[in-house]
Amino acid sequence: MNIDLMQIFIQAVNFFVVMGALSYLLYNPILKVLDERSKRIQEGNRAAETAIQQREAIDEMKAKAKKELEKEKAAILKEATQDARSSAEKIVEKAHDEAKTILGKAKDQANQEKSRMLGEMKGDIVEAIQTITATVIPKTIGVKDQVKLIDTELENILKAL
Amino acid sequence: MNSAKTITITTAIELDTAHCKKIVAAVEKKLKCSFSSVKTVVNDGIIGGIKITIDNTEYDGSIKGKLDKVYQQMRKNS
Repeated sequence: MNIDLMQIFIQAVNFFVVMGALSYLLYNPILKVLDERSKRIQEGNRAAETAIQQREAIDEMKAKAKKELEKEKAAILKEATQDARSSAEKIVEKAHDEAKTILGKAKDQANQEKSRMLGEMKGDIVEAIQTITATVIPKTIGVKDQVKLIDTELENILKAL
Repeated sequence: MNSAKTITITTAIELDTAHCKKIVAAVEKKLKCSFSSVKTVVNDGIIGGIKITIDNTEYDGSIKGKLDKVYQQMRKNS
């Protein structure tokens, strides 16, 4: 078996040429691609972290806003309840006042009616007494009593003069 | 003594002259005057007692007058 040094040399050159070509055409671009990919992954991770942080901040803001809303809701509800209670009290008070006024008017009317009826009744009584007296006295008392009555009343008139 | 006064005596029965004179004399004595005109009126509407009118002033001592006073008082108080 003969060792062809020339052949070995050519093979060696060929090997290095191929290696250089592969290194230049394939290895470097692949490294570059991998590097870019790694960069993109890192950027993605950073973006994800930022997004998570933003999300957390938003959640926190939402919770805070919800809390404030709850507070505001409670305050509005409290105010509305107080307003309603106050209005109800005012309405009840007004109703009481109106009832009092109506009752007072009714009482006044009743009193007026009572007074009117009493007056009429008294008038009727006096009229009846006058009628009875006018009918009965002349029949029951005689001239003597009439004269006595005249003298008595004359004395009273003289005293008044 | 003053004069020229008129007196009207209203009663439920007719007065005799003596009684009438007695009434007039009593009033004259009290008022220290004399009446130029004396009028007597019989009105059974006054029921009893006497009503004397001197000029335009009336002194009511009749039962009707008393009842009217009571009536007015009752109306005033009701």
